[in-house]
Amino acid sequence: MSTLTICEPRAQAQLADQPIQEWIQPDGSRWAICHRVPGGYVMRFPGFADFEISHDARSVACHPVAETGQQTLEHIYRNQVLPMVLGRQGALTFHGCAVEIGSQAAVFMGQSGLGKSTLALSFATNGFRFLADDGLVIDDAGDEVDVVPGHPSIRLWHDSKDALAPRDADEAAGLAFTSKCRINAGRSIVFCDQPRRLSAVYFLENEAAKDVQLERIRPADALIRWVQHSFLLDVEDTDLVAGHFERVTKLATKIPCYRLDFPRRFEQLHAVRQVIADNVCSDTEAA
Amino acid sequence: MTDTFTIPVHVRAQQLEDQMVILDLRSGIYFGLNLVGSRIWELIKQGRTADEIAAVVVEEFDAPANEIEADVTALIGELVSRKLVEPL
Repeated sequence: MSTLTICEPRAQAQLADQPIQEWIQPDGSRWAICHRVPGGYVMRFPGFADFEISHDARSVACHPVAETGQQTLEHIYRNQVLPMVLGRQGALTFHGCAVEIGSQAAVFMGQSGLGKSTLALSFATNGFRFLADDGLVIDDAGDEVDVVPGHPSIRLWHDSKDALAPRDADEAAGLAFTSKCRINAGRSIVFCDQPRRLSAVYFLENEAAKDVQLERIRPADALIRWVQHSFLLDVEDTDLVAGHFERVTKLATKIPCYRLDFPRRFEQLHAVRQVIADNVCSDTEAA
Repeated sequence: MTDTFTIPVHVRAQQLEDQMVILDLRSGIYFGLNLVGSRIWELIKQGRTADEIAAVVVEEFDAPANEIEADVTALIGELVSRKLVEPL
């Protein structure tokens, strides 16, 4: 765990060194940068806030700019900073979503915009429960590999919400940095608040596919994808990255991984859910 | 073809079945190798020269020497250009 302290607003002063990592938005602007500083790190979200993270990631101090609202700060912390903090503390964190199928977890990973949250919401409104959206924490400490429940909300584009969410869905307040909406878990969108054993990972890829295609991928190909979707705060900390690489190698070997291609049409989601549910069941029987 | 090579400390490799994934921990660059490429990587790690590596691969994989020599040279060149191995 880590403690978060919200400090008084302040302007974002120039940071001295080159960042060790940066995240660029599709329009080319910087969404976030990470600098190593004495005592730890600073994750800067230009125009919104600086998060000072101690070297051991046990404490985080947030310095917002004056205009940033509480909801926006909390969301940035929960979805962007916390996965990095947990990763720094030794947890395995990834950019992905998870749903409960049977008593197990199915994970969806893929680049932004490929439909992970839409697919998770589709499950969550059709008799399944969702476990995590965006910041995915995996517990590999025991014999089993578990997905840890994330925050009970799903963030997605309005067209997905309009097409899939029930009318009584609890929409949270909008955020300053995105036009996506957030839907809180509730009676009609059910959240699973207990860890679930990871059954399989589905990497969402070709959106131009004509129909639903599921292909088991080899561990080496899965490993590359796991690494691509990892949250790592300090990519220059070779011990940390090496340890992460070894643990992810075990996941890629142990957990069945699939490439999932499907047309991004809402009316196809029923078929996608069916393919995934059948696949989880057949993997479970085979195990 | 008589040079030997070293693998920098920030480069790690994991063998998974008959494939190998190499990760440069500093840059985040990763690289996949097939069965033959994996064997070449192991021989680089053992300090063999490109000539020695090609000879071993020709024998183990029963392939034409000229093709293997070209493949070994090309792969080592690519690994060097990506800074995944360094000439000693």
